[in-house]
This record gives sequence, structure tokens and C-alpha cells, in this order.
Amino acid sequence: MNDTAKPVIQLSHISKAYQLGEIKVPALHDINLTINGGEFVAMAGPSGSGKTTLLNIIGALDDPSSGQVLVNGQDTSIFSASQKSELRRMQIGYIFQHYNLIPVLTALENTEYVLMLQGRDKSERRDIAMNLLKEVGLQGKEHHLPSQLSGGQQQRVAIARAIAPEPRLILADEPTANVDSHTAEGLLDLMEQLNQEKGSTFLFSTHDVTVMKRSHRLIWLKDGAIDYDGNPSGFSLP
Amino acid sequence: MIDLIRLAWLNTYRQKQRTAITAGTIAICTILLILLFALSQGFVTHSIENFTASYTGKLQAHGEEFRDTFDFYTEVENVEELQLAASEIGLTAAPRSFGFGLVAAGNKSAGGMFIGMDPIAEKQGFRMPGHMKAGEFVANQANAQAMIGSLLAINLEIEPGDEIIALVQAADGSMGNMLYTVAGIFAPVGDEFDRSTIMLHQADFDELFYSQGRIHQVAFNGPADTDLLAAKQALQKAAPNTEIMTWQELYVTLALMSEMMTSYMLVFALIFGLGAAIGVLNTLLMASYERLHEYGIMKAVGTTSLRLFSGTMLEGLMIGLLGSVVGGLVSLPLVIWLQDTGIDIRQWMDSMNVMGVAFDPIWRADLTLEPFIMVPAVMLFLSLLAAIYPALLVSRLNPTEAMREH
Ligand SMILES: Nc1ncnc2c1ncn2[C@@H]1O[C@H](COP(=O)(O)OP(=O)(O)OP(=O)(O)O)[C@@H](O)[C@H]1O
Ligand SMILES: [Mg+2]
Repeated sequence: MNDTAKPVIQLSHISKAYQLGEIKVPALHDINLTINGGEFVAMAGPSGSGKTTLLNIIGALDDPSSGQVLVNGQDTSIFSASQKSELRRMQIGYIFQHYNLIPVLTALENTEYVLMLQGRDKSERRDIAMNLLKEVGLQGKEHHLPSQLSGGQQQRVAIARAIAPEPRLILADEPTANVDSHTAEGLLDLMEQLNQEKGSTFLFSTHDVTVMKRSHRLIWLKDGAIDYDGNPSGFSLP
Repeated sequence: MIDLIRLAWLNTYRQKQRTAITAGTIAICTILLILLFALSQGFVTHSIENFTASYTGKLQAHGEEFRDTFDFYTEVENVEELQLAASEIGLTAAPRSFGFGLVAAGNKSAGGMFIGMDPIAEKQGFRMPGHMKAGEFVANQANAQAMIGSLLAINLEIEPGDEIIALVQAADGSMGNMLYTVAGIFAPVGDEFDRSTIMLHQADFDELFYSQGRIHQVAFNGPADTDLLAAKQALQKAAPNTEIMTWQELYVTLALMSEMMTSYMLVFALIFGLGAAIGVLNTLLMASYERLHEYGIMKAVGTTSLRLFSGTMLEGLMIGLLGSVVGGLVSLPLVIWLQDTGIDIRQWMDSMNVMGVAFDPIWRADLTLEPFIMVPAVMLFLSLLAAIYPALLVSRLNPTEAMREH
């Protein structure tokens, strides 16, 4: 379904500095990166190395200070706010570290949320969401509120929500940071399975070595620059 | 749209206590305003009805310029045609004559306005014959009886049964001079009337003034909801050369009172409503700050600014709607009770007099649709106004910053 030959993310000469009053805080420096459709990529690095910043720039949640971002071939730096909103709604799935869900909506409604924003038909989105919740192992929990689910279950709902519109690209910022290692393994199994079956491109950040090892490509960031980019087996922690 | 409304409702419902307090404030303001409105309206309409139905009438006919000159020779033409036209449109007609003169009792005397009238027509169309302070209305047949305004009676120190002497200039230039027995003293109607009125049977008046049946005024009365303009047209047709005026034209300040009431109430509503609006503003601002993180998530996954804006506006609308609907529903039976039973103001004061018009001692509300639409509309409007700022705040959130909040 997805065209794996085509690059999903193309970054050239991306730099980012945050302005904190008078002080400029450098976060990213001259990042060049291409990720193709269907890749399963982990991004790691010390705290403050710029992982979240980079994910936010790729996901059109933040603007780079300089450089060009292409998502599915489109230059997002020239997008208006509403075009970026549409890009996020239609082409990218997001999984955040925690509290991903809308507290007043059930697991099912949270899974449907982006489909609803897309204006999909009610019965169609209900079918998709029910199937996905079954796939992520939450059958029977469809009508639970987030507060009635464990952290791992909540993350699985977030994964279901991100995958529901079948976006080419799914960005996840430390999706396993708030769950135990056993649950983390389960979430990773799920992401990998979706990657294999649906061909969705995954880019996720992590601090967890076992999670890094599960990726097919590892990008190591250090002080806002790419320090390693390759097979995780060829990488040893500094 | 349904999803948007549902989410707004879930969010409104989520803070049950806060929503209840804010909606409750709006409800209480709504109730107070509706009651105030209905009571004020009741006050005005009852005062007006009291005023017009006791003596003045809903419309009056006079000869041209009579009201300015009180010229004895300026009479109403076509009195019979007017009476006929009035009965055709469901109004009663009371012909009256006026003349100035002196009245004396014992060693007291005063100037006064003598009014000649037909007791049968007055009893048929007006309340005053049933509202005597003392004694009774004169007999249907002329019998040298008089009735006196309440203040004039005090000035002359007279009671029913006493005799008074009338001294006037008659129509032919001679002196009219007669003795009457006081049959009754009127209950207060209005300052001017109470101070100067001596009312006689038409036949006695004719004899005193030698007026040969001259009629100076025909007063028409009818139900409170009489269509005044239509009545005026019909009467004017029957007597083209006669000046026909509605009570609103005759008593402009009194008519203004009724109109001003609505403006006053609108101002009151806005002031009270402002308090309620601040409650809405506070509730929505608190909710926005508490939900920064989830708004950030919503925006990050592609929720449009417009959608977030509308959602918060809807929450404001819901709180406003909840409060004003509950307020309106609770007010309804209260207004009905105030209309049926009213408040007896005699427990606080003896009599009440507004702009020279005596007021009914039972203060009743007037049940009309107006306050039940106007007050909730103002409340809703102000709730929405108060929601704009939080809604803008939410819609303009930066998702990455918002998500950092917990
Ligand atoms: N909003 C901000 N304002 C100012 N500086 C920021 C902001 N966000 C991030 N930074 C700075 O940018 C740099 C990169 O931060 P970033 O959050 O991208 O790192 P990270 O790799 O995600 O770290 P962690 O592993 O702790 O999540 C850090 O030096 C950080 O202090
Ligand atoms: Mg981070």
C-alpha cells in the first residue's frame, strides 16, 4: 500500500536554537537525514541531545531555525498554520510520552478521534477503531475511560489512534518511557507488527537500550548532531 | 458537529461542581431579573389600568381645543353617534360636562371642578362608582346629590350626609346657586381629581349651569388589551370634527413609564448578567488551564484552531443555557403566583401614589413572554461574550508548549 521506495522524511541542514530571553539555546545543528517509507527507526541520545526537538520539527509542531524539511515530498517550512494542522491530521500519526488521550472520551472514541477530525463516516471509523483495539489487545476495554486503563493500555490506545488513519509516517516520542520493560516489549511488538503488515514508517525516540536494539535503524544524537546512523547491532553505547 | 457538541458537553459535565455553581449563579440572576421585570411590568400595567379604568378611560372625545381652554361653549358633537360606534367595538361611553365654581360647607369654601355625568353610564364603564372611600355613588335619578374628591372632602371637613353649597357662573351669565347633599366621597384616584372634584348627576349639573345638555367629554373604556388605534379610527369616523385621543396621547408621561420600564430592565439585566458572565469567564479560564496538556495533544494530532475555539464557546453556551433555562423554569411558577396572589403592600405603607396616580395596594406581577425571552437572551449573550477570551486562548495554544504542562 505504501510506496516504500519514496522518502517520507528528508531533512537538509536543519538547525534549531531556542530563544530564552536574551540567550540562544542551541538544540540542533546541521542535521541531514532521509528516512524512506516502511523504515522502523529509533532515535536515541543523551538527555537534551535534541530528540524531542527533531521529532517536533519533522511533525510540523515546531519550525527549524534554518534548513529544509520535506514530509512526503512537501516542504513544510512554507506551510501556513492550517496547512500544518491538515498535514498532522491527514499524514502523520503521533504517540507522545504520556497522557496521550482525551480524558473524557472512551478508548474507542479516542481511537476514532483523528478519523473523526478527518470527517470519516461514523460507522466506518467505528469499524476501524474496533478492529484496531482488538489488534492492540484491548478487546472488551473499548468503553473504558483513559483513567480506567493502565499506562501500557493507554499507550496502546495512543498507538491505535496514531495508526487508525493509516498515515505513512508515525512519530513517537519515548512511547515506552512510562511503562515497565515487559509492557515496553509488548508495545514494540505491536509497532513492529504494524510496520510489517501495513508498511507504516515509524520514527521513535527512546532511552531504553533494548528498545534501540529492536529498531532496524538507529540514529544516535549528541549535542544536537547525528553521531551515529546505521544498524543498531553495529552500535555500542558510548 | 455532533462530536463537537458531545465533547463540549462531556467537558462541561466533567467539572460538575464548578458548572453547577456557575450555572446556578446564572439561574439566580435570571430568576431575580424575571421577577423584577414581571413585578415592574405588573406595577406599570396595573397602575395604568387602575388609572384608565377608574375614571379616565382608554380614549376620550372632546370638542376641538376644549382641553386647552375648558371653554364651556366648546362641546362634543355627535355624542349619540359616538356612543353607538363605541358599543359596536365593545367600548362603553360615558358623556361628561365640566364647569368651574365655588363650593362651601360650613365656614369653609374652595374652588372646584364640577362634573356632570350619567350614573348609569359611569357604573357600566368605570370602576370608580364601586370605589367610594365613604358613602355611596349618587342615585340613577337626579336627587340633588353630590360626590366629592377625597382631598377636597378633607379640606372642607365634610362627610356623607353633610350639605354643601355650590356657586357658579351659569351658561347664560347668571349666577347658579344650589344646595346639595353629599352622597359619597371618592377613594383616591389622582392628585388633581382628588383635590378639586365635585361630581353631580347630569340633570343637576344642567340645572346648576343652565347648560342645556352640553357634553364636553365622552370617556370610553374597554378591556386592558383594547386596540387603541383601531378604536380611535372607528370613533373618529363617527365624529369627524371631534378630537379623539388615546390615554397614551393624553397622559404622555404615564405612557413613557411603560416604555422606559423595558429599557431599565435591559440595563439591570446587563448589570446582573455581567456578574454571571464573570463566573463563566472564570470557569472557562480555570478549565482551559487545567486542560492545557490535552488541548496540546488535540492540536498536535491535527485539531483545527477553529474547532478548539468552537468547543470552548459551546461550553460557555451550555453553561449559559443551563443556567438561564433552569432560571426561566423556576421563575414561571413564581411569576404566576405573584400574578395571582401578589404582594400586599399595605403591611409596609398606607397608600402609594406614583406620578399622581393611586396604586393598587396589592402589587401583582404581570405574566408576559417578554422577560422570559429577554432575560435568558441577555444571559446567553453575556455567557458567550465571556467565553470568547478563553476560547481564543485555547485556540491559539502552541501544542508543544501546551503539552509540557501537566
Ligand atoms: N522550549 C524550549 N525552550 C528553550 N530551550 C529548549 C526548549 N525545548 C528544548 N530546549 C533545549 O533544547 C535542547 C534539546 O532539548 P530536547 O527536548 O529536544 O532534548 P531531548 O533529547 O528530547 O531530551 P530528553 O531525552 O531529556 O527528552 C536542550 O538543551 C533543551 O534545554
Ligand atoms: Mg525529549
